[in-house]
Amino acid sequence: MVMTKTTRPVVFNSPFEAGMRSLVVLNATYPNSIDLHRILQFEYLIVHSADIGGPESLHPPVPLRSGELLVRRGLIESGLQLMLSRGLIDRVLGENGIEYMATDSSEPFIRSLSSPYILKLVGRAEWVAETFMFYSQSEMSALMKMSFDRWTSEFHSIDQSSGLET
Amino acid sequence: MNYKGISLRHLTYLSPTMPPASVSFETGLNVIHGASDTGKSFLVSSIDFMLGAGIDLKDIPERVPYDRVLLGLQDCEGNEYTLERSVQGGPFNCYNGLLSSPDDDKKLFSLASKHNPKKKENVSRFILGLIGLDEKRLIKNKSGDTRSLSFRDLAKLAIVQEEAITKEGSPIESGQVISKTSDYATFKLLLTGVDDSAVVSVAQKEQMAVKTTAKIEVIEQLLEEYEIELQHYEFENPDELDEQLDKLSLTIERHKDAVNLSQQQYTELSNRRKGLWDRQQEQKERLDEINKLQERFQLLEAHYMSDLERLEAIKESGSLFVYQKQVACPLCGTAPEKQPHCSSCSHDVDTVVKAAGIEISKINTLAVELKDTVLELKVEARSLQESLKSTNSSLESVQVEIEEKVAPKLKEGRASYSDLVDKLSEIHSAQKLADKIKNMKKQIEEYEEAKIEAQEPEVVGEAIPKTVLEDISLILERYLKDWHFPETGRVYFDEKARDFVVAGKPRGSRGKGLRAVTHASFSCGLLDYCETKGLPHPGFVVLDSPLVAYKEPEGDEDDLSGSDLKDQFYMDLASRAEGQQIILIENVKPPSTIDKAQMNLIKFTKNPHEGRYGFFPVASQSV
Repeated sequence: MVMTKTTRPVVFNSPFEAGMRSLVVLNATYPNSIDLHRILQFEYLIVHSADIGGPESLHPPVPLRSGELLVRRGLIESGLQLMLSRGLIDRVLGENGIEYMATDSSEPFIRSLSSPYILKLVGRAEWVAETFMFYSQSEMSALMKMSFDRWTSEFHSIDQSSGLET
Repeated sequence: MNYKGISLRHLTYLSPTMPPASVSFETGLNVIHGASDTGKSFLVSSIDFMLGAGIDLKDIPERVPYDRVLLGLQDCEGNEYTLERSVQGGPFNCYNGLLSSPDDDKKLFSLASKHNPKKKENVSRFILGLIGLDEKRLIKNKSGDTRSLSFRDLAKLAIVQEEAITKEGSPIESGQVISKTSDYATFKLLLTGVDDSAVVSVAQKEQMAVKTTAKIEVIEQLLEEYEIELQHYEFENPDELDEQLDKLSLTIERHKDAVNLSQQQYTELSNRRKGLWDRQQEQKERLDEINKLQERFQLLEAHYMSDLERLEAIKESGSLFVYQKQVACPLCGTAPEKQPHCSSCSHDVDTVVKAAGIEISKINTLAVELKDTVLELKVEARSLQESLKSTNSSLESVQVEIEEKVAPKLKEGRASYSDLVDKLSEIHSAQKLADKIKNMKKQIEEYEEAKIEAQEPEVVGEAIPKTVLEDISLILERYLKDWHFPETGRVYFDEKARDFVVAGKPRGSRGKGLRAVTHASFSCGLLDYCETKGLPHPGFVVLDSPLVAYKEPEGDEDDLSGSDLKDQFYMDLASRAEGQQIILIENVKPPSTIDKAQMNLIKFTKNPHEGRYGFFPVASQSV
């Protein structure tokens, strides 16, 4: 079998894809606005929902997921910028600093999509929003930590040489 | 050659005041003749005195001024010695060389006068040493007790004094009853050269018998113990041990082959088992590997699927997104066309959508490859499982064969082999024991025989071989014949009387004159015999007046006056005695028919005006 390591920065984890996911997250939390950090956390939880007892994870399990949070911050910012530019989301400046929020165009745009991934994405986003919307920041941190610990032990046996990427 | 006889070289009396009185002797015949009272017999007893006789010298007036006596000797190798003794008797001094007067520089050692078997320094052992008869033993009684040979035992055979030459008794005997046995033993020693060291006395025998009995008892006790031990081995017949041993050795050999064969089988099967086990491990490992790979490939497939979905989503959302109108900046209101764009960060969603399409087809290809690979693995795993199954069953059957057949057989073979070897060593031990018992029985038998032998009374000291007695008798016969002895005939030795019988008449029963002549023939014959046969003998003979009866016959039969015996006697001795030394003392001079050059002739005239007066100088007469 041939393991072709292709470079796909343009497609996967592109600002567009990150932006799309952020859009779905914000649409699920609508009418609440959330800051960049919370978007980051929610997006992570959506992709790895099985880690915290949610529905099946959107992506198959992969080692070293925790690193995602660090590298994705800038990516998601760019994605948000892209969504802002099409008026699909709004930036809200308030007592909680900079927060983001879905707009009136968000819902119709998402509804118009029918690919299974998007559908799954929407479903999990709704579950995450329902479950964790009102967690305090410290509660969220504890949750994330728990999630990391779990996969850390779970993936101990599988080595990282498979060359898989998210 | 054991004949090592010595010869006498001179006898000398020394005086502090008088000139020495001396007589020289030579090898061959020496004749000293002269009238009575000229010291002839004194000379003979002086020789005896100087060879250790315990007598007092005759107290003749002539010897009064003399205080010391010297005797010169020469041994068969030519070594010369001079013995010195006080006229009072007592110990001797021995000097190297022939001396006419003592010389302290030449003194070798002092010699005691008495024979001592434990000490060498006495005159008896000195002379015995010279003639090769030192440390000989003689039996002294019928019980077989022995004593050490002294030169005194030999002296009477070599030095025959006037009264001894005519005595009726046997020339080999001293006349004393107590020394009868040792006298005969001395005679035997000279005739055979063998002494009585080997004779075991009755007392010794008795002691030996007691010791032997004790030994037998000890051995019997041991024997009993050994026999009981042998019974423990439970062999029916110890005599068959050899046969059993052979059979067993054969069995062991066969068994060894069998054991070797099973060992070989065992080794072969073990090797096979090892091979199968290795194969089993290999197959199991490969299966594990395949399982792990399959797990990973499943994960990979899941990724492919998830990636495909993601790409589909990107493609779909992207193609819709491009129709969304750009808005002015919500914060600053900058028109969309005026907003700065980063060319590198793929805000160009169109490109993203296109790329997603390409990616989808790439991943599809990969997914197909993956499926093929997974299929291949599945096939391999299935065939591996099949061959693992057969490996397992082969391994099991080999294992069963080893455990149930070969190993027990080998174990059993080894066990019975070691049993056989044990048995073998048992038989070996029994055999050793049986041998020991056999030897002990033999030894007991030997001891029993020795005991019986020891208990049998034995007459000792009687055994002079007949042939030896015949030989010496023949010599005497020849002598007497040559001397024209009257009534010559067969001479033989009467063992009972211990004397010779001449022409049917015992020697002692003859008249004085014939006794003296036959005695002389015996003395000279014995010397001759020993020299010829190479047997030890003192080497010289001193005869005092063997022919005296010639002048003083006791009766008609004894009268030799009518014969030429005297002439023949001298003639024969003068010619015969070349290597031997004979010192003849006579009253009258040798017959005029004899060549005087053949002998050392010394004449004592008893006339102060003519020649030599006597042994001592004439001066004594004037005292």
